[in-house]
Amino acid sequence: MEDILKKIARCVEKGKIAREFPHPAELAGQDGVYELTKQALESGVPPHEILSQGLIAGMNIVGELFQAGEVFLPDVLVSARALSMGMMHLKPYFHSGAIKHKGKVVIGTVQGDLHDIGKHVVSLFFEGGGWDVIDIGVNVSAQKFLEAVVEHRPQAVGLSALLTTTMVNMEHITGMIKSAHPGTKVVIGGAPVSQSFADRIGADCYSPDPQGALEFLNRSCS
Amino acid sequence: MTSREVLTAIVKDKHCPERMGLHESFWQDTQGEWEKQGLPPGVNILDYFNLDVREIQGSLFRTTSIPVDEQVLDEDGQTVIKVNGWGARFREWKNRPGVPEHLSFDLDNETVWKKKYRDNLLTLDLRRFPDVEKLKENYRAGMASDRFCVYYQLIIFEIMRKAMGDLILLEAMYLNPRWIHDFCDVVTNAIILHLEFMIREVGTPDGIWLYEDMGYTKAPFVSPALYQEFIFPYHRRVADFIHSYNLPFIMHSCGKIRPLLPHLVAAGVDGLQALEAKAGQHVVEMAEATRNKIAFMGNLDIRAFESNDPKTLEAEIVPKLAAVKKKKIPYVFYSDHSIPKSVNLETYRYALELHKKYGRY
Repeated sequence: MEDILKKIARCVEKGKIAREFPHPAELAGQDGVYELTKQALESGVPPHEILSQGLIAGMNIVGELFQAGEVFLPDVLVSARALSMGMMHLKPYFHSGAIKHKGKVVIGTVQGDLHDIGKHVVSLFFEGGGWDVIDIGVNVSAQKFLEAVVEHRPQAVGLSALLTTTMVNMEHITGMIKSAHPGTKVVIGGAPVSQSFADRIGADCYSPDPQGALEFLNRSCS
Repeated sequence: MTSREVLTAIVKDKHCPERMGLHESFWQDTQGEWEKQGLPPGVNILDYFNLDVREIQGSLFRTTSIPVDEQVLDEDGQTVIKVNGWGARFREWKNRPGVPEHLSFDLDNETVWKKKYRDNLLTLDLRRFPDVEKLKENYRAGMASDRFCVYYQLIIFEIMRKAMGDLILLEAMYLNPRWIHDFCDVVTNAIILHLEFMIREVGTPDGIWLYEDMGYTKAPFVSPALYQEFIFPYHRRVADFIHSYNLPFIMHSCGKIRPLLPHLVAAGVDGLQALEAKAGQHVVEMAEATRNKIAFMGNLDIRAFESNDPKTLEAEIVPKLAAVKKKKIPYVFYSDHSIPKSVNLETYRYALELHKKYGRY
């Protein structure tokens, strides 16, 4: 059992989606996450162990390597694609309640900013870390963030901004969330954002990379 | 020395002439804001500030497969949805700059590429040029001045991003490398074919300035290994073409591209701009790493400009120029991005004073 979980984790780390995909060369012709997850379920491995010790464990390694600058965005995307193949098999277990997400995160790009790539990559890490991500899009107003918090009751809200001219909107949004829902953590990120800015606006977490934000969620919200 | 002589010495010959070069880009709404602060209305901002480089207007030919300008599909009070000649849909702001939202990409696999888009790029197509006669006029006017005049264009990685978006592109490098190589090969040939036409029919400029955003704040989009495999051969081919006319190849890239620097030098890039400082890049370190084999343009931290504080601006500019002078780095004074309207006119004027005072070799 341990062996197949390690194989799943390794396939997520290496971006081995399924047998039919030749990438990566070192695993060409071998089973990928798609086949291995199916085999694990068929052989009676509990779904929550496949999730935590296989899929999430593999994505966690990718996150650490990405944080250290040892892998790059294409590696992350292909690993996330591989992970999603495993998640496809686990979907029924989420629906039945046999396995649960660690919690919910609402994520959006703040008002004034249409940039969506950074938010997308962070979402991949959060999902790969076992979180249920509610992506409310780009150019999101404080009011829309508040409505999403009321509707989904997340443990945390993630705010993304690309520009110095739009990061200022994070202050207003953070203030509104904190005054209406003080227990909800606010995580901020994006090119112009810094720890000192996060401290000034009262955000709970700033991370220069997705893995740091995920670690904050795991530490403080689950 | 004229602007042309100064920039040619720096970018083409990698020498340090009497002064550092001087150039800048401005966000589209900056000039309007500065007119409220005393800039004479309607001036050519590059002439007004006596900047060295001129992009020859009209030389930006259409590199989309279907040679059309972006078409508006829908709009609301603030934003507009456009489709480009790759069938890609973006949402962007109507009246202010910003990075667009990626909505959808028609070109999402190799079959679509071959069926709908590939063949349009195989031959010279004059519809790609907005107006050749106007381009000739602009060329003549530019070359009659003493400015350093360039043709400008997007190239390979940037074209791929506009065609298929970041996510499809970056995944496909691993999942369908054959498609990405074919795309790069076809697009590179198309770029060369159309640049060649411009040089032959319009004239030879002082340099070719190509836009290729390959990084974000933390890292390049792709690893040096993927760059070497997928992009380097085509940059090299473009560089060889440009050098065959004895012209310098200037490349713009936002973001952190330091890990790619040795590969860019090997590809034949002569001048690199914008060297984003907040990505942890420093012009002196980059120049030392390349032993002054290429010229650098930029690296003046835009956040110092945006502070609108003379002391902060001095602290950013003065030591950097002193180090550039001491190390004899071929260098063009330039922010590490474009100047937004949040930078006051007075601040920019002060930056120019600092260039005048400390920007001599």
